[in-house]
Amino acid sequence: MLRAARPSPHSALWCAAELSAVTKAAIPATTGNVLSLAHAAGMQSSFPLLQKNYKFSKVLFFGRIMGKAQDYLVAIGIEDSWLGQKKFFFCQDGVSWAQLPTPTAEEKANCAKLPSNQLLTGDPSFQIAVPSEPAADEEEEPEKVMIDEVLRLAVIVETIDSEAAMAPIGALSMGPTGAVLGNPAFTGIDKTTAMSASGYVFIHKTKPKDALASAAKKSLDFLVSCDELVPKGALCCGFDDASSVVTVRNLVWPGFLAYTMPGVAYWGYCYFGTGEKNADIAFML
Amino acid sequence: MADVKAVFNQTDKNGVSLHGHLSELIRKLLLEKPADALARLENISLEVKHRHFVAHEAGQKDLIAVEPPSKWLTQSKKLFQVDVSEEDTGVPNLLEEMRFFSWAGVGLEEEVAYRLFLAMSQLKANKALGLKSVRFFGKILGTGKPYFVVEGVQADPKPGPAYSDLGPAHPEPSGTGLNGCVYFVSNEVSEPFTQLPDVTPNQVLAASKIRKYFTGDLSAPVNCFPPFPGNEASFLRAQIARIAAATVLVPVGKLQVDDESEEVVKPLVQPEEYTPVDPSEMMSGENWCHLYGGILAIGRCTNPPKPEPEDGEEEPEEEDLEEEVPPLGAISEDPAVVASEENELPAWSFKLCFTQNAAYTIAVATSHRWPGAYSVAVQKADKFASVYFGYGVEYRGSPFTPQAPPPIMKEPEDPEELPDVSLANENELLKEIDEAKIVASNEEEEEED
Repeated sequence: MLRAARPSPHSALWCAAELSAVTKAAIPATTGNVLSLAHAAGMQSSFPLLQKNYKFSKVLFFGRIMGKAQDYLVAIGIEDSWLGQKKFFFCQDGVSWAQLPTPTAEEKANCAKLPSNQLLTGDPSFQIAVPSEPAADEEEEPEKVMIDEVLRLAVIVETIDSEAAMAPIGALSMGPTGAVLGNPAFTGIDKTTAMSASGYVFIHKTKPKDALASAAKKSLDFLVSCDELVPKGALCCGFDDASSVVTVRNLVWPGFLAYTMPGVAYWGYCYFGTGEKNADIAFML
Repeated sequence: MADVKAVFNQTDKNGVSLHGHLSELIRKLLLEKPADALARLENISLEVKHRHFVAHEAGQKDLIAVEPPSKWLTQSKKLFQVDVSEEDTGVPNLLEEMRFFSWAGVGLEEEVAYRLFLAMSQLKANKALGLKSVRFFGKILGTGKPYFVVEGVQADPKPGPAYSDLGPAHPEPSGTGLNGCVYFVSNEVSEPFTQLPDVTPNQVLAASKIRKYFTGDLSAPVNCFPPFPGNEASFLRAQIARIAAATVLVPVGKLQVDDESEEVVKPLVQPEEYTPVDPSEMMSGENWCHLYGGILAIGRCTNPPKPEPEDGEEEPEEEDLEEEVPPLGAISEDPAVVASEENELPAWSFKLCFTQNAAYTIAVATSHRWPGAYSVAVQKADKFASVYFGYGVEYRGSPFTPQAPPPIMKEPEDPEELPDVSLANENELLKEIDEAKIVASNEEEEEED
């Protein structure tokens, strides 16, 4: 029997197609970031393997988090729903992926106590001490809390993914079970829409449920528009004539890049940066 | 009954009424007598309806908006027609450099790199600019379009006066210090490049006090506090000067100052003997050095020359001047970005890529003060290059605190009240003035006679 030429969303081919957006189409190169040949070559074989081993519907390249000495590559494994449990993986060579831990609320709070200029070191076994609150004179000095670098990486990746991940409007749809899947009827957005922040939605920010809305509205219009990002103007859209791809940079998370091809159901996002949020954006726009 | 019939007889835009439709439907049912008439009733009804459908408008043909071709599309052709037949040594092999940089994780798309190479060749071939060599400085991103920056060294710079009444605020003459190179920028590789104006010390100092994204428009104003003296072109030039002084690196020993030269600015030349060190030794700041001199606290690379005393004037007193930082200073002297007990972020970090064979190993130096600034050195091939990809924003390691506005001016002191002049006194004063005028006019008349 003849098979359809287009790879089905569950095949390894599809996974490779998603990856080539980052490596071959060189979309991050518009911001000056590229994957080194060693990493790109490694990921060509390790991504399909990751997908098979964990039975993911999709494995996506998330990005590269820069450390002082070495960088981390991060991948996302999507089981079923975009909104549900995602698994994050990290590695430094493009081949040997390890799953990132899921941080608890307490661990997240501990990470938030670290000074903002504390970059990752690039050594996964490194541990960093949380600055303790100054103890009163008579009290004993509390024991120092140590955080693993891998845990910090997990918190950084999760924060960026939950705050910045975006998709073109209409690209995702919510099924009756609440699972968020790629919308099969999505045929891309036009260039004018793609060049404005209102043409995108944040993948992880759902709108409050409206019981009176129609079923079609519930399944398509359930995410918060990127137009609502504060400050205004932090999302910068640009059109690349050579590849006909619209890229959107989020200056709140410098290094975050979303892309879509107008008129084609082709979109994604990635992050290349130090994992720091831009605290000075109010002065910089 | 007549009323109801009138309602059913209303026709729609196809000229069919409900009454007409139902009669037609029943007629069709009677003629065809389908077995499953009830089940197919709706379908048959639709069939009947379609018979009368008239397409008033032609189908929409212009689904895809027709846009005029963009500048990029129309101008790209010109690039490929550049005459580069002349043998040229002043344009580096950008494609090869970008391959090295890709190991460091930065670079341009290959096609863009090739177009940029053509654009650089075009700049170099332009006799009016008089460039000795060109180099890709980097790509500076902004909120709008990015800037591609090309650095050029003029063969014969025309230096202006070396000093003026401005003292240290006088810009360094072309060809020296921070104005040693000229810079060309363009939003698109295929569009014509614009030369940026020379930088002034005030602009360098003002640029170091603010944190601001570029907009991508050279003529845009720079809205910030403290105010920046100039538009975005000047701001861009000032940031480029700061980035170049801090991040353009060469391996130690690759270049040396030509002491025998008689020029004011002694040129850098390649020494006769140079043996590249082992790649592993490039992992320390000792073996990398800055290509350009450092920036002093006055916003210049060089201290202003003293004006020659004129005859009869005394020699001006010696001022306390900061010592100049000459080119080729080791980067191990660079202060760390963050230096506290628990957290230390050095100005540079180093790594080796493609280490499988020492002959191909690429040493990479990454700047932390200017994130996005990278230098590579391939020791065995004796190649090196520096590039910058970023927003043109310095990393300070601490949240930015803008300079406070100047203190609010105090209320002015109340003016003192003076007693009113009495009428008699005023008249006396006016009389005196008038008399003085008459006397003056009389004298003038006498002189004329």
